[in-house]
Amino acid sequence: MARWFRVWQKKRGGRRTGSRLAGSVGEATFFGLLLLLGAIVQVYVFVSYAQAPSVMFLEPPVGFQFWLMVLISTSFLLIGGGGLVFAALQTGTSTERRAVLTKRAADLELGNEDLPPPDDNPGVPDHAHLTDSPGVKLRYRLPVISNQVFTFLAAATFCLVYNAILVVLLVVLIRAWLVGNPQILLAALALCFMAIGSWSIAFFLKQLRMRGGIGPTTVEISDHPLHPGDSYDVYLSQSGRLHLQRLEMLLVCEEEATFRQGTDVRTDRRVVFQQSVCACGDCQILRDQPYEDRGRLQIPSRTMHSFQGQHNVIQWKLVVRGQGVTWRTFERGFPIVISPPVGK
Amino acid sequence: MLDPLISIRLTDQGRRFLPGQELQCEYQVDAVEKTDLRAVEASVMWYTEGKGDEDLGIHYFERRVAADRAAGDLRPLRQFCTTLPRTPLSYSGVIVKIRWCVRVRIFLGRGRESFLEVPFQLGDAPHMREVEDPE
Repeated sequence: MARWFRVWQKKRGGRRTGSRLAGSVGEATFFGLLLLLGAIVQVYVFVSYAQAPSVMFLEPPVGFQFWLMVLISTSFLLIGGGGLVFAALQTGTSTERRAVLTKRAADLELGNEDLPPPDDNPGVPDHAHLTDSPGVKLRYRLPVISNQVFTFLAAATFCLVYNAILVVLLVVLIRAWLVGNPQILLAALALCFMAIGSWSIAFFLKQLRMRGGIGPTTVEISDHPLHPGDSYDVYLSQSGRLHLQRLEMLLVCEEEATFRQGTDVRTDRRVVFQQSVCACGDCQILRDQPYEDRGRLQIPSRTMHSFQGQHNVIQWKLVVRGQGVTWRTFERGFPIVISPPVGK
Repeated sequence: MLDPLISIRLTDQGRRFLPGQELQCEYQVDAVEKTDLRAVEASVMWYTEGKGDEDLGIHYFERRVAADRAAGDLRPLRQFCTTLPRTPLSYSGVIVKIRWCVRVRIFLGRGRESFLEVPFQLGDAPHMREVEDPE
């Protein structure tokens, strides 16, 4: 607890260096003042309305201003009142006790809805959705996590919007030129716009070609969830019509941390484990003849299990990475769950 | 005025535990008036450290309030034991770390509070380092 009052304090996520009590008092004061302000404004608005000469109930001259003031003051009342109640509930309650109360409430909800009870491995993510699709060659077909669709949509939207602006700019320039009033500065600006617009078209076309050329990737596995020290069969199938310099499947462990920075929520990822499962060089994939490979996946005997917190994740996945001849690397991830060893 | 003293001892074991092992703990509060000590909370818990916002999970929790007890004295030695869960294991990664600890928090008069925690390790997950991408 801080011994002296400090104006500036460090805050990171839910942690702070200052006095918790001072923080709670400040929070309660803020919401209390908001509640008071809302009450005063609302009383003033209604008293002014009641004192207006010869006024019928909520009839003109009650206009837009009246309703706007009622709306604003009501929002102040709700935010101030809610914040005050929340601050009062938080004061004198430790983080641990709040976590326990939240957990008990969640357990009660689970009991009411006849959902399966929480498993024996707290923090290990649920893997039911990973085993609901049977495979053709092996027991389970893994779902894909892909950010390629997002990249493609982003490229398409940017290309469309940017070039639409460019077209409008060109129309303005041409009209000005035709009426004998050439805009030199605007023309220079348009040249810069054209350079970026051309790049966006080229990037979009490359994405389009990639999407057209690279067909679906399928990964199947002999068992799930996985356990440290055990080994599993995996099957890889890559469709499409493309020539790859290299195609490989990797076992990857990635840490993911979500944090608040100012008003932004950011996510950082770091790869902490990477191991090749199978690989091939110079793959020629034809439309009617997908590339197929099998490998043996060995999970290290001393390793961390999968973990899923609200802000922190340890995610294991199989990553299929292809190096194209004419384009950059494409990558598709297939999540897996590593559970702790059974019976230990 | 002296700060209150909180002492925690994990009995019979070192500070490395296996999943499913029993953890025995005793704790005591000193240097505080009986009437000034309003409540004591003891938790066996995990929390995350690192770049992300903090996540925490409570495995064991007990709260004792002076008003609920006939003697009203929360200072004497108190013991509890709990069987540790299988997960999450203690972990030291690059941007995510998972720590286990026994935490005792005391609530004093005039809204003051203080806590002490004793860390321990659950399991033997290896330390991880960032993998450099060859590309």
